[in-house]
Amino acid sequence: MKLNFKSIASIALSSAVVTAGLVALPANAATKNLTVETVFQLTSTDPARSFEQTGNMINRALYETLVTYKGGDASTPVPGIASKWKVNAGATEFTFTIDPKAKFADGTKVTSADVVFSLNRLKNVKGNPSSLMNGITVAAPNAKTVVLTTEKATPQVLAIVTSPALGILNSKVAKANGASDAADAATADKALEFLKSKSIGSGPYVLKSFNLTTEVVLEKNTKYWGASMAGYDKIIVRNVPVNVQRLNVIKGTSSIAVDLSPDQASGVGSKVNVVTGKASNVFFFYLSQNSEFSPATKFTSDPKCVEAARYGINYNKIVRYAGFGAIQAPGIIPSFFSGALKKKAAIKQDTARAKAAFDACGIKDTPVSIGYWGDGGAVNGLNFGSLAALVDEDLRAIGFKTKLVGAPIAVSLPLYRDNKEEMGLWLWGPDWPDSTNYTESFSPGTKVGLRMGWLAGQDSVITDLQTKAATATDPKKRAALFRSWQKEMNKRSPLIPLVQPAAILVANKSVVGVQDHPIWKVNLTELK
Amino acid sequence: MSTILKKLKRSKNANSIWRQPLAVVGISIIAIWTFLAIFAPWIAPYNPNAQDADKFLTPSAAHWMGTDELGRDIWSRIIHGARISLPYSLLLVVLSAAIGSIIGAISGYAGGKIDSFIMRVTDVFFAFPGIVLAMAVAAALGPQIRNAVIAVTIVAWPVYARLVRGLILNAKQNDYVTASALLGSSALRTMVVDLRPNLSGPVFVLASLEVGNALLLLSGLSFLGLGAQPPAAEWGSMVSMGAVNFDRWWVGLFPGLAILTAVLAFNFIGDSLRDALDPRTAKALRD
Repeated sequence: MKLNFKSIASIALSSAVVTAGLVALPANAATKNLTVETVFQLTSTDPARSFEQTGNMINRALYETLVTYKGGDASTPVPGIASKWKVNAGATEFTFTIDPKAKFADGTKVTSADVVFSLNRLKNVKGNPSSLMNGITVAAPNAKTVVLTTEKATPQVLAIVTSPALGILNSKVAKANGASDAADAATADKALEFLKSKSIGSGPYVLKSFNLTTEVVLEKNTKYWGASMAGYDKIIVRNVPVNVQRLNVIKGTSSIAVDLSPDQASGVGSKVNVVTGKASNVFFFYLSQNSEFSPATKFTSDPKCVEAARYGINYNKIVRYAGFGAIQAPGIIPSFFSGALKKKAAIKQDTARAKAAFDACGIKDTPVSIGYWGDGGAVNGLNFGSLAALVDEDLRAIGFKTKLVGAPIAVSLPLYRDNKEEMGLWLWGPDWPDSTNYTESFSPGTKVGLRMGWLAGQDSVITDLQTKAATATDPKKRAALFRSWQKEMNKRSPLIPLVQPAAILVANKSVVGVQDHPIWKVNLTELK
Repeated sequence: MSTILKKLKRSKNANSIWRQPLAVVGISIIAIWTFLAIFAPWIAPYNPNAQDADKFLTPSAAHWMGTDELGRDIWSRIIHGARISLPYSLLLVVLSAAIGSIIGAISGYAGGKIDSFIMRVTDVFFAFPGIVLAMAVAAALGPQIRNAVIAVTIVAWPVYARLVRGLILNAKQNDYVTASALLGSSALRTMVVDLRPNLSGPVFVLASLEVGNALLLLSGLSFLGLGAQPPAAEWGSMVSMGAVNFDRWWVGLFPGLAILTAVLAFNFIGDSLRDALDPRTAKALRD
């Protein structure tokens, strides 16, 4: 090919034009991504059926609730979809005014009909979180107003409303894809699979993909109506074992590790931040004793046997195992909430008293089994097997012939829930951020009470305190009632609170706004 | 067994197990572990379940291998762990060898449809990855060491069945078997009296080679939380705790080394036994 001046000039000109064009392209190639790693506690992204920690974390970013909390706080509600609200004097009527700017990710305005549909669907679909709506009726006097009413004083409704399970769905899209809020929604609602493929909320993120075993991907809602847009273009929530979470966050291949224990979080180096919660974790581990399990030995129904176990445990050793930031659970209500007992009220080990009680109990060499999550199960880095070994040694030291019976969670949890464990080592995380969650779950005849064979009417003092605390509206009086309830529980309930582990998140220093929250663990919408 | 011992005693040639350095190393290591296991309560400096020390102490004069997440002495737990890992590994090899040999013998001797049926069943077992099948069985039965032994036995017997079936198919063509049948011997007598002496050597060699695998599989189940349960000291579950506390290297390293040395020793012994008792296979492998 013969090159003359004209051809050389034209090649040079075209190269310059192409180069200039490439340089002038908008700089949108670099998307801002965030990777969060956790051990999945996840069933779906359907708010009405999801009640686990990972589900709460994801749904908090996809769906908005009437009111919510900011940062690590769980006591002062702030506007969500509702811009304002009022509570009547008797705490039986809660009126919410929907923010006129609120709209779903597809641009449709949020109306009171969407709220009524979403909350009635939650109630009727009979999913795990449906119990949150027990005793609550929802109505919409007009397109902008929603009223929640209860038969008796229920001051905790505002706290309940913040749960991601009460996230608001676009009712038209939901109905078009099989959702139902009718009384027979438990069978009529067919929207579960749809809601695992697409989100129909008004949150700062939308669902991009959902895989129950590997990862869930969220994308920025470009039409978000609120003041604060999503901080990332994409958030990937990955299911990763704890030890790998630690390695990845140190290497920088992930941004946040959710499940490290204090021991694992120590020594992670200076490239990452270790974020501790405002207080110890709202989870607490406990030893439950089933008073109906062994009618032959009457082991756990005998107050002396329970006393022997309660004073035989070395709580300091358990706290030491749980690592920095952990505290002995002084009562059932964690230190995060109103009415929590002070540290000095915690039970102290008294081996002499425990041995005397054990002798009086009279079970001698009868074996006592302790069930727990046995196939390496761990929460917050605390291994149930290790905790069981700690309790086992203490109880053996005062004379119990304990036998540890670990089983996979799929086996051990139903045994515990069906009241078939003699003793059990378990933990509790709040369904809603209020102390009533504990009084309504651990008193005689309630959910956990029944799991321990502790029937309604077996302790009128504790039940009376439970009832009074549930309906009290004055904050100081409520707190006092919660404390009294716990003190009575510490005296004679078949449940022994053990430890509150520390709330810890380990995050890359480039991530701003990381805070531990008792319900959704990490507020993805606040991360920048 | 007496046949095997006789063979081992009279073999004074180059193949003799006692003249092979690897065998001597393997036997020495197992002898040490056996000694430690038998006398563990007297040798271990601490109670293996005592939680008296601080957690995660680095190796020192007081705690040679440091302490774990509950403040337990790792050296004491390793010594006591030998009381679980070694006997249970041997037990499950004996069980799977016995079960597999009986099934293989029936299959090979009966032939026909019975043989086809049994071999298809063994094919099904071979089709599953061993650890996955063992995990499924252990999870279904419930996590504890006894169930882990059952799970591994269920996984391990087919290899013996295959071996014994092949040996019987080969041996039953011989004249002495035909003669025994003509003399009116029952099938059971033919198998036990005439065929067994030719089977015991290869089965023993295979079993000795499998002890290491069995120990690994058993430790693997405990590592996954499906074997020994707390507070029992077991090497696999100790390594599992080391994996969770990765930066505390001593928690997982020392029990891992215990597994390594024991498995290596059993493999050395198995290889040497094969050389001594099954020279044809050994020669084929060397060539």
